[in-house]
Amino acid sequence: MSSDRKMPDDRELEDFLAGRHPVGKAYREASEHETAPPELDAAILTAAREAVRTPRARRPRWFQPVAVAATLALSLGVLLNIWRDPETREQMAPAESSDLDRMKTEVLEERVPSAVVEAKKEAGPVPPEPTADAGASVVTQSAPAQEVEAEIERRSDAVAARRESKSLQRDEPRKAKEGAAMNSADAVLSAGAAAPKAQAPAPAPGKPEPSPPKASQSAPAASAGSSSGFAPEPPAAAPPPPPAPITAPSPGAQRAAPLGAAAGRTFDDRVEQQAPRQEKAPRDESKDAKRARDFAAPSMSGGSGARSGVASEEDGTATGALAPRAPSVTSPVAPAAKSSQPEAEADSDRFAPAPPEDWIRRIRELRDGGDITAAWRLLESFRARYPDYVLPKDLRELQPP
Amino acid sequence: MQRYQRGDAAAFESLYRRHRDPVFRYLLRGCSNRERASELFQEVWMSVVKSAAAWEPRAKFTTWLYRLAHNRLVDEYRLARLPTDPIDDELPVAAPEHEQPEAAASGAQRLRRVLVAVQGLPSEQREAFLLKEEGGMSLEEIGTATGVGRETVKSRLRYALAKLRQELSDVL
Repeated sequence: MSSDRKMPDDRELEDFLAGRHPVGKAYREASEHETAPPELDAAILTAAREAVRTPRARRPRWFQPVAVAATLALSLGVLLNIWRDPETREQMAPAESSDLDRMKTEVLEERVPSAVVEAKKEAGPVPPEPTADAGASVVTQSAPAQEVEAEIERRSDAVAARRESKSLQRDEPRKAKEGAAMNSADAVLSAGAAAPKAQAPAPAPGKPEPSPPKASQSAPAASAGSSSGFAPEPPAAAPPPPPAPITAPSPGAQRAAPLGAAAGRTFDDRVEQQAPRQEKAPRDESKDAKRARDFAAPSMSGGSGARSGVASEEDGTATGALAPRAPSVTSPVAPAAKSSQPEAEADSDRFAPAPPEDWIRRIRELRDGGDITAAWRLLESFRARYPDYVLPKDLRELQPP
Repeated sequence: MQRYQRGDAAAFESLYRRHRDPVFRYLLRGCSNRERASELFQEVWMSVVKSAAAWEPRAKFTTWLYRLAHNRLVDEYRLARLPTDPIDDELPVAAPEHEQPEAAASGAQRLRRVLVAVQGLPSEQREAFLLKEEGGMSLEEIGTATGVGRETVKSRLRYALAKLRQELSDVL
């Protein structure tokens, strides 16, 4: 657009920006004598000089981004660590601090009516407008305080057992994987070491047994495998264990089924850590005697015994405490409460894992014997069981069949 | 400014001498009170001294300096509750009022009328006018200093010039 076509305002603006506008000239002429007060000059210039003389310690430029990045990395690492570990996650979860108070209130509420009635009977005429506080005070006087305390204690035990049961259920998938891998490994190991046991069908790797009866059937094979390779064998003519007495699908049995035999060690550790009240079985017995007794015990159902025994111990408290008032809590775990504690100990001992050197030796035997498939399967199981173990060179070069 | 950052105090003095009077006039036109303008002037330059270490040559020093001054004036408007509402640019410019035509002959009176006319501009138009006249800034720089766009600055300047021309038509 040429200057002729521009609006008058545009031409005026151009003149002003170029310093040709009469208004601008008039303003400059009018304001040129206005100057800043000279007394301020000294103060400002002195401050400027002092600022140069005493330079403030400046942080390097990389300081802030590096600090932010380090903080983020640290926080992320801690969060991931917490998120991976279910036990820690459970501990980090907001604790139900009001459980005890709530139970106390429930117990008091349940006892208040009867106590009030008793008090009424004793007092004769009804007192005017009895309040809840009055009822509570009557409870404290008439109902024995020890009884209330005992009831609260029983309920808190039941809640603790319930929490333990939930945490075990959360661990179930991980345990199932470990159990399946170890079942497979034990089966392969036992195949070479004990010929009669080698004919027993080993459970397929990665397929946890879905139901309690299957768990009880596969348990002997697993236990035989674990014992044949690295421990003295149980009697060969031991009868197969009868079906487990657990008929209802209780959580304890469901947990025990996929775990199998080899997962018993981890669970045994858990049992020792989380059930301090549980007395340990006498250790002076030899393993042979223990295994013979375990196989002879009709109520034992293989690998599931370790879990069900503990579950019964834990859940048994809930059964005894809450059976009259809260049957829904006790019903899923009630059958498992009948297993015995020493049997769980013995069973977990029986499934103690072999040292890695025995695995290596057995894999080599299988490989040298030409059974590459079995050697490979056992090697895979070994890697799953000992992921940090540095394999010998000859086994590292073992190719899948 | 970069020299001052490196510790050259003489560089700051050079900057100060160059911008001292225009900044003072800009502040004086903004608050129309010499004492208050002096205080604001000192605050602005103290801000320059304190912020010198963090200054980065992204824009001209002049733009940065007048932005500091502009912010001080805005704070002053808020404290004094002076009208800072945006101007309705669609309104027609008022007709010229020649209250004292006979006094226009006097030179001193003429200059005073110019200053009074500038003082009477709406604050946004006055700022744009002063930033051009005192700071010698371009449209983009004025927009950067006042936080508005280039077209807004143009519009404000157009209306300011139109109003001043009509107010001072008898003395120009």
